[in-house]
This record gives sequence, structure tokens and C-alpha cells, in this order.
Amino acid sequence: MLPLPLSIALRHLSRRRRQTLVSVLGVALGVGFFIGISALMRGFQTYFVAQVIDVAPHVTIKDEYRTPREQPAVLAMAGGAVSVRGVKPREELRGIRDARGMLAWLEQQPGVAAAPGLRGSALLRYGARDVTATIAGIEPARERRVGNIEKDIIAGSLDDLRATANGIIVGIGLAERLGAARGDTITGTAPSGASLSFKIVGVVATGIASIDNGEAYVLLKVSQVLQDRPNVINAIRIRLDDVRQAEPLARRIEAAFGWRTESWEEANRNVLSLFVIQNAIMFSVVGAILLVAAFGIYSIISTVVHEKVRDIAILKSLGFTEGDIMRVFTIEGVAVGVAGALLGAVVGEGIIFALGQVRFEQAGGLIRGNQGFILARELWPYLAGGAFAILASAVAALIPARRAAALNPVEIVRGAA
Amino acid sequence: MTPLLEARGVTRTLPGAVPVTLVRDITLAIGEGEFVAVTGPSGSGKSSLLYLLGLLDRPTEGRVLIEGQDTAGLSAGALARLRRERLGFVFQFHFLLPEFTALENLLLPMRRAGLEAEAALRARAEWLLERFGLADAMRKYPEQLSGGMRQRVAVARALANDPALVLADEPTGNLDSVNAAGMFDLFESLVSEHGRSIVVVTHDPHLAVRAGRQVRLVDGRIVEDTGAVPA
Ligand SMILES: Nc1ncnc2c1ncn2[C@@H]1O[C@H](COP(=O)(O)OP(=O)(O)O)[C@@H](O)[C@H]1O
Ligand SMILES: [Mg+2]
Repeated sequence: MLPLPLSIALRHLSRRRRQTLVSVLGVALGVGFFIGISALMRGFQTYFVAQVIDVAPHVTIKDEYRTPREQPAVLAMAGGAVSVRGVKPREELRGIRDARGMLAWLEQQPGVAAAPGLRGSALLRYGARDVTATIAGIEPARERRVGNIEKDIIAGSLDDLRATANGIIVGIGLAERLGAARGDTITGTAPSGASLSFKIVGVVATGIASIDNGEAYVLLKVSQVLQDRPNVINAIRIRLDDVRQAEPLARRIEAAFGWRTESWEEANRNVLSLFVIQNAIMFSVVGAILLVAAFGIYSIISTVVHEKVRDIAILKSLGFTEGDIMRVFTIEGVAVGVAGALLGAVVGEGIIFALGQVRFEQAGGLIRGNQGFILARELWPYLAGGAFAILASAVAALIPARRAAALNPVEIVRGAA
Repeated sequence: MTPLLEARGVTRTLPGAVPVTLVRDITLAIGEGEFVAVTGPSGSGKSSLLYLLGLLDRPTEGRVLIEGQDTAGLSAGALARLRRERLGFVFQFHFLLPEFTALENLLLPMRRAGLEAEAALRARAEWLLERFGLADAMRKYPEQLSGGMRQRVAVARALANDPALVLADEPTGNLDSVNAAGMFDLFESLVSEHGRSIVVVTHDPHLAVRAGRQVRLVDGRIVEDTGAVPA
């Protein structure tokens, strides 16, 4: 049999159905929206992260330093006797020195794949049209282990780069802007003045605008010729079995070799911090909804207490304690919270289902293959939303419940008689 | 012998700009097996006295003792326990719990005290309601009962835990003379057969004389007590 305060509480709630239903619905809406909104937000965020992890390198070593190197005069006169101002970067031959050695070292690390590259800009021209693009020189065999570019190639293949002299794979947006297609021959002119003819052997569509609209791939050697920088490598891109190791590895590389080394987290820091703000907004909005629901519970329990003062006097005259009375009304609040949390899970499911039905006609071609919301199916919003609802209900009920318990039965009866 | 319940010089004053004294200097001892009728004009403090004796209110002066023990020092929890195991209280205005059936109204204090198994409690509650002629009303909610029936349920509920002392505030106010007499029959049998004590407030002089002892209040003072032990 149910404990006595629980059975009294449930009886109070079940005999005043309308009021109970309204307060349960209030809580359920709060919980439901929380579940729905977090599925939406987290879905987008995890999709974005997965996309970044999938397409972009986990770690990139660049041919630059994070902080300018100390001037020799400053190093010689440690302690500040000399200050050097207005230093311009030296016209040095840029590129990662000893890149081959680093590659060899990296490839010995477990769970690490690395690929060299020389990235530079070039003006691509096809007929009368020209577009500035980033030309990435790659080694297909190594690139394959580092990037997923291959699966995004919609015409041709990575191997065609090697099979064709001066083959080039261009982003789909780039191809459109040039008006060129696979098999066409285009010209590329580097800032150095060197110019080469390329044959388009492939078209790539990653879904990431910056790549699709502005990148092209050639063999590393070809890139070095185009840029007139023989044997130079200016980026090493690394892919890890465990993406969580990206930041630590980046720090290790930078400490050991000195080159600026960015993990994917660092490269996307602005977006990731945007997510933090996004989540904060989400939690505030939903917290506000639940707060309103909690006030609803507070007002309902207060009203019930007010209407039930005679019952409280009777229960006390029958030997029920203050603790019993408090339990009765606290349980009423918690019961509303629990029912609201359960119904809220259903409402949340419904919201997620409804969101899943939404289809966008054309999302600007940005999210390829996804014409709807990306929804995260996670357990924690159900648990967190439910727990918060129950907690808020308990607190909201506790205040009037304590007041109810402290009521003096004789004063109630004198007032009533 | 120690009386079951004793009031010694009890005064109860409501604080306020104009303090109101409800009862004044009450000294009263109720022994085991005593049947006491409290009478007096309206506003004379009968209900107030009953609240004090029922441990629902505390005196501003004087002491209330139960079985020789001063109740002033008892915790709220201890008082609640005395109320549910030793005392049965009936408010002047029936006061049933509206969300519960007549039977459940009896079962609530029984379950709270938990002195017997559920089946025994249920059997006793049904037996009590039958004794009050409420066999057909057991599963009805208070709103479905007449005023007189509710009053009888309230008295039955006061007897639910078989208390040593029953305090009933005008329990016959809504009853016809037959039912009122029947209730007093029951009180008499509780006293004579079971040795229980009853304090009952009544306006009806014909009923009052059926009690073994009459206490008359006027303006919060005892003006007559047929059973007072001479000091
Ligand atoms: N809350 C109150 N404030 C002021 N006076 C009160 C209050 N309650 C009762 N009284 C007064 O106390 C006196 C005793 O009341 P009560 O014990 O109810 O008398 P009875 O039950 O004999 O009619 C009455 O004169 C009544 O007017
Ligand atoms: Mg009265």
C-alpha cells in the first residue's frame, strides 16, 4: 500500500483534475522544449564538429611562428638594455625546413598519419573567365590517409592526378565560376609569374563553401613548379585516430619543432566558442520556461494549501504531525514535477519528430544531402530536463508546504467557525 | 488515582490590541470512565476549553496534564502522538476530509497510528460506521451525505483509534432527537462497557443530564461542576 502522505497527496491531485492537468502541462512544455531545442542545437553542433573532423585536418603544421623570433641584438643583451622596434619580417624563403624529417618522425607516432603540402594562390583562367584560387599541392598516397577529400570527388578520382600530366581537381563552385568541366584545360598563373596548363581531371564537392568555391588540387611537385619553390613544403596536415589527441599533439610538435601548429579546435575556436554562447542562450531560455512552470507549481500548491486549511486542521486534530502535512504538499508538487517530466519527454519526442519532418527546399547547397534539421538523439536532455523539473517542483512546493505545516489548527477553526 | 486529563488554573487569552480571554482559571480533572457534559451559553468558551483539553491549543496560564504528565514541555511530535493514540476529537462543525469517503475518513487516522494490520483496521472502521447507522454511507463522499450523517462520521472517526478520551464539540447539533439519543447511547456504552472517558459539549439539557457529570461555563469560567472533587 502507498505511504499515507503520498496517498493523501495523490487524492488531492486526482480530485482536482483540471488544476493538476494545467500545472503538469506547464512543466511538460518546459521539459519538452528543452529536449527539442537541445536536440536541434546539439545536432547542429555535433554535425558541424563531425564535418570539421571529417574534412579538415586534425592538426596542421604551418610554415610560420606563433611569436616573432627574438632579434639577435635583444638576445645578446638580455635584460632589456636594447629594444628593437619597427622590425619587418625578413624576406626569407618561406617553407617548413626539414619537412621530410618531421614527416618521418610523425609517421612513427602511433595513430598519426601526416601529409605534406604546398599551398599557394594562383589565378585560374578558362577562356575569358578567371578566378583566384588556392592551389593545394598534395601527395595522393599520403593525402588519402589524412583527408577525406576522395569521397567528395564527384567526377574523376585522386589517382587521375598522377595519371594525367598537370592534372587538377577543382572545387565544384570553382568549376562553375570558370564555366569549365572535367576534361577541359585551364591555365594557372602563380604570383611568381610562372604559368602552367592544367587539365581538369576531377571535381570535388565537400559541402564546405570555402573549399568548393576556392580550392584546387594538384600534385605536390606540380605545385612546387607552379609556385617556383622547388622542394618547399609549407603545410603538414595530420590526421589522428583519436581526435582528442589533436590539441596535445599540436602543443608537442610546436614545442619540439617551433612551427606554428594548430589543432582543429584551435582552427575553429571562434565557432566552438559560438557554440558555448549558443548553449548558454538555450539554457537561459529553457531555464526561464521551467522557472515559469515552477512559479505555476508554487501558485497551485499555495492555492491548494489555502483551500485546504480546514483539512490541515482536521489532520492535525487526528494526530498528523507537521512533517506529515509538509510531506503531503511537497509530494503534490513533486508529483506534478514527475508527471510533467514524463509528459515532457513525450512532448520532447513530439517536437523532435515534428522538427524531423521539416524539409528545406534548398539550403543554398551548403548542407549537401541534408535538407532538414540535424537532430541529436541523446539521453541526457531527457534526464537533465526531468531532473530539473522535479527539483524545481520540489522547491516550489516546499515553500507553501512549510507554511501549511506551521498552521495552527485552532486558529484555522476559530477563523472558520 | 491520577486523573486521565487535568486542567490546573488554565487561562487562555488571545493577544492583541484588546486581548480577549477565552477561558479563565479553569481547574478540572477527568478520570477514567467519566462521562462529562459541558454546557453554557454561546460564546462562553466551551469550544476553547475543548481545544485546550484536546492539546490543540496551549494555555497562556496554568497547566494541562495528561495521565499526570505536564503537556507544556512536550514536543509537537509527542503532542501529535497523544492526539492520535489517546484522544479523539470532534470539531463543532463536522469537518470531514472532502476528498475521502466516509470509510477512508476513518481509515486515515487509523493508518497513521498503524496500531493494527490493515484488515483489522478496515474491519473496525466498518463496524464503527455500522454502529452509527452508516452502513450504506461508507463508500460515499462527504458531499453526498446529509449534515447529520457527516456529524456521525466525524464522531466515528474520533473513536477510530479507540482513544482513552473523546472530546466532542456539539456532536448532536445537526441530529434529530432519535439520532442524538442514539449517539449518547453509544457514548454511555463506551463509558460503562469499555471504561472510556467522554467530554461532550451540548446545548440540549435532556442529553446533558444523561452524562454522569455536568460542567457549566459562563464567560469562560466554570460556574458549576457536579463532579468536582472538593478541594
Ligand atoms: N478569533 C477570535 N478573536 C476574538 N474573539 C474570539 C475569537 N474566537 C473566539 N472568540 C471569542 O471567544 C469566546 C469563546 O468562544 P468559544 O470558545 O467558541 O465559545 P462557545 O464554543 O462556548 O460558543 C467568544 O466570546 C468568542 O466571541
Ligand atoms: Mg463552540
